Amino acid sequence: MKTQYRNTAFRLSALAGAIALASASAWAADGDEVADLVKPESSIRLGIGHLSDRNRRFGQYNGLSEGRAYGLFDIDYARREDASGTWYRLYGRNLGLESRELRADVERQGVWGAFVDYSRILRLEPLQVTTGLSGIGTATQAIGGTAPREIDLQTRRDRYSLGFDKALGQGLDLQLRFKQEDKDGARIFGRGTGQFLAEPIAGQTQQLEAIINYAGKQLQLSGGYYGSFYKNRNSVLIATPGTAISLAPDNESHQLFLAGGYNVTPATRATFKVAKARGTQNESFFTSPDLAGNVQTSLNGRLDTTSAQLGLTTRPIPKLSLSANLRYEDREDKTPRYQFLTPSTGRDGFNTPFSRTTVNSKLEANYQLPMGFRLIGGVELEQRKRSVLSIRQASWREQNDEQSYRVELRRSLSETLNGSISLIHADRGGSDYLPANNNAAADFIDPIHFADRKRDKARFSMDWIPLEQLSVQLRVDDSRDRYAGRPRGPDTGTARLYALDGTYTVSDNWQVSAWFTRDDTRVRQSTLTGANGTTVLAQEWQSNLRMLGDSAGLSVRGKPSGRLEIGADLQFGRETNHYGLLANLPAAAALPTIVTRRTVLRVFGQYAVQRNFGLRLDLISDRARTNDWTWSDWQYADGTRVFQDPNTRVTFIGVTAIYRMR
Amino acid sequence: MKNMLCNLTRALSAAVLALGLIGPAQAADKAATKDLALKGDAVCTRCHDESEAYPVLAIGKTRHGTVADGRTPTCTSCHGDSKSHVENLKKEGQSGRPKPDRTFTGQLLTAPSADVVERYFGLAGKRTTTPVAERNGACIGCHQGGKRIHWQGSAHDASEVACTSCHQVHTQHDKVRDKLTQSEVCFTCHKEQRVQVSRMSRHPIKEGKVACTDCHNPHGTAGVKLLVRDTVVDTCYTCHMEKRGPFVFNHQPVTEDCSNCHNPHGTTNPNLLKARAPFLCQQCHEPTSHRGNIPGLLPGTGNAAGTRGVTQARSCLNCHTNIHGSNNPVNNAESRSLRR
Repeated sequence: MKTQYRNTAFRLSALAGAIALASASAWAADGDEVADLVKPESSIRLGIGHLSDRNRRFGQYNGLSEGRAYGLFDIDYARREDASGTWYRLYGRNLGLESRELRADVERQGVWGAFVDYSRILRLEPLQVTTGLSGIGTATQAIGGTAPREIDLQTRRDRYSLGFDKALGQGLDLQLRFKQEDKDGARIFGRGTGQFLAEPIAGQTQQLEAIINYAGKQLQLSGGYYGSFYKNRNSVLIATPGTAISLAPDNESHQLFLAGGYNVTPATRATFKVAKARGTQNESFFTSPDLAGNVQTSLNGRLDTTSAQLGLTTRPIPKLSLSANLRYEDREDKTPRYQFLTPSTGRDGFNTPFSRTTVNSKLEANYQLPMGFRLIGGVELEQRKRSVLSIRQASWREQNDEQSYRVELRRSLSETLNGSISLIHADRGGSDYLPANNNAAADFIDPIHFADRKRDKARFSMDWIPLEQLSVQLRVDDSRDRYAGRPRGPDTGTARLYALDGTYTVSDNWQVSAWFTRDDTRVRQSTLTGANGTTVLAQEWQSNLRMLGDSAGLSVRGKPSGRLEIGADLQFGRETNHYGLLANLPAAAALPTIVTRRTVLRVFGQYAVQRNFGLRLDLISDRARTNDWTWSDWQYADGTRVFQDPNTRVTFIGVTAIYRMR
Repeated sequence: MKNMLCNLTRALSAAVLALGLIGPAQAADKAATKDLALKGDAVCTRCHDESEAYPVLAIGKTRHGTVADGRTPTCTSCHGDSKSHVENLKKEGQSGRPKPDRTFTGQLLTAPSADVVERYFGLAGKRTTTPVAERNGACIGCHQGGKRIHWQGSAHDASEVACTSCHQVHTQHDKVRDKLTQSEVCFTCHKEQRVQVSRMSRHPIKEGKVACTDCHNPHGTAGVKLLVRDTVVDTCYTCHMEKRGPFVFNHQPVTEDCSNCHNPHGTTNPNLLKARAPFLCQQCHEPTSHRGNIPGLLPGTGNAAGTRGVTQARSCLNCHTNIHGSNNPVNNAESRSLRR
């Protein structure tokens, strides 16, 4: 239900649109209506809101986390000089909040354009930490360095973008894009279960893209350069007492690419893309390698990627269309192999580059049957080859092959009933397993992304309009995985989805809609546990993981009068995580089922005071409950505790004035 | 005044038509008026004017309505010449005015809307029998280059998704091009993702800070799952470049596909993990040492079977902190195991 995903900081354009609607009816006889309908409009929203309580889950990304008042300010300015086709746009959202964003555009349409954009993404950690760790937010931290106190962790991304477009004539145009993101803050980290740490986040990413496009009637091309660069101000976390932890290294990648499409005939089109990329990582080590004689000061990492794609779509006869697609990707890790560490049992001390080559081919046919039906059939083959290391931490497979077959019956041209039913069968196998040779005696598991697997999926969807006022959507998905191979590890998996949506138009001025979705995902897997003294015996054990999600929504929109519009959205979600352990365990060890519930009610009323001025009232009530035991009664050896509030309730109320102009 | 006259004219015309006093061709032969929104739109806007229930003239507010740009269309560029509609040339037995050559419909919206465009095109709005390929052909005729090069044969094209299933052409604010409301359009079909983005572990999609199109190009790509960078890992690296490496010690599933462990649309486990550790890790790692240890809530913060140490807080990640890769050239036991 779309309105339920709206931000707590409300959307200006929707409000302005609604006011425009109210204006059109309330003042239909006033002014120059044609100009009102054809000229770009602008709007400003200004108001105040108040959050009842501190709630970092509610405000995790929207900046509304403390129990206080907030300024609400949005702007959407658009002006066009009709004679030259020049646009001036200024767009600001959440300008009164920390999650603010602002964009300015100037464009002479069809000739050139430029923009500058700023956006902040805030992520508040909802968990409350009480710790004596000092130096949080820096790369030098001391465990027990200060008296325990409550801290809030968060990260913040500040993103700046620049863009320039220029039409070069003859179907050519140039696009330049630059984006920089500075990410700062701290997040939960650690060194074993004894020491709580906070990972210092102080990174910068930059992306530069220069593209030249050509668009002709038959041929279209798009080629250019894409570069991406990561810099971390911290290469290591020194947390005393204890050993240092390396942090993410600087790295960069450069790609050249060319994509194109060619209309061979009006019924046949060919497409392609070729790309070549080189990634490097030369961050200086924070210390010299362990192994005597290794004088490497950095990894000298290098990853070369070559990719290509060819596609062909054609309609040889009016009722039949065919498409074929071939994709190739070779990721070759050319990082030189050096011995960095002193070898020990099961570890040779060398770095671990991984390379792989993937080839995917796909063929699909689509045939039109009578009465608006279409029959679709397709086959897809994928082969993935991986490089092999002499020392392996888990079972390894040098090659996987997967074949998928799909058949679908679809109806899509009826005015009242459309839908489809499709069946997919996929079979994945591959080469013989190479053992986890540092743990050969316990090599019992085929890794889930390598394992032989048969997958069967069925999907049914329907759009039905049984009455002029009523529309219904139904969707059912069923997917089953069966893993073959050794008896331990993943065994079976299922995923089901049921979704029912309906909307009833009571009258021109009132609409009601409701939806319900259930998703049910299960995995059965097994392994062997070691002994824990006499409390837990060494044994084979099985888990039956299940995530059951029920979500429902109800929405109402009404226009009791020409000036007043009201609405309400109620959304409820309940997620249940079962663990289903089949094991010989003392009762005190059992993992309770985790149930999380969330109910959100949003209500609004909007009154058009004048043709171009309106008032709006918004109310949001958010309640969340959980019995998640992840952090319950947990304490790090250094005394740090992490708390999750199991029951939160918060209310937000906002009053805004909206002014519309042209 | 103009509006009143127009309404009066239309009402009288309708009454005359109903009485059969004049032929349909004569009724359609209204005096030509000037263009209102697009070049050469007078043939349409002499009837489809400001008094329309559907705000057809609002296309003037859009890029399509920038008449100084010589590339912009007129009504018939998309809807066809529609001679039978303009001149009301009914087929034998046909009631009502013939439809234009090409008509478009919006998405099958499943929530009430405050927007008049959606009300008109949504559930109670009009449908169309114009084939999807013909509808899309009207758009592709001009919009085939750049990011739409791979439209033909893409997942959405093969599923007969019309451009207007997602895009609203006659409005200044096209919902699907606004990061805050874009996902609502996508969720019209993608129901599973609709609930996933509301889970406790998620990207800020509801807040409009991450949009579906930050990761996917719905117009088709050369790679998998309509991803903007053709592979899963390269798409994730656009925001999570710190995971790219290569590291001294890489974690193989990380280098291959982030979705081996994460569901980017949202999960009930921390950090978008598909399953809670240690269950997730045990799907690959053999039961040497503590790796197959059964999780439980018995006292103990080590890695013994049945204890909190292998279960609570960050579980396996309590120790294996650098799970995406370690660039540490020292300390064999720690760095090779992605702990330091």
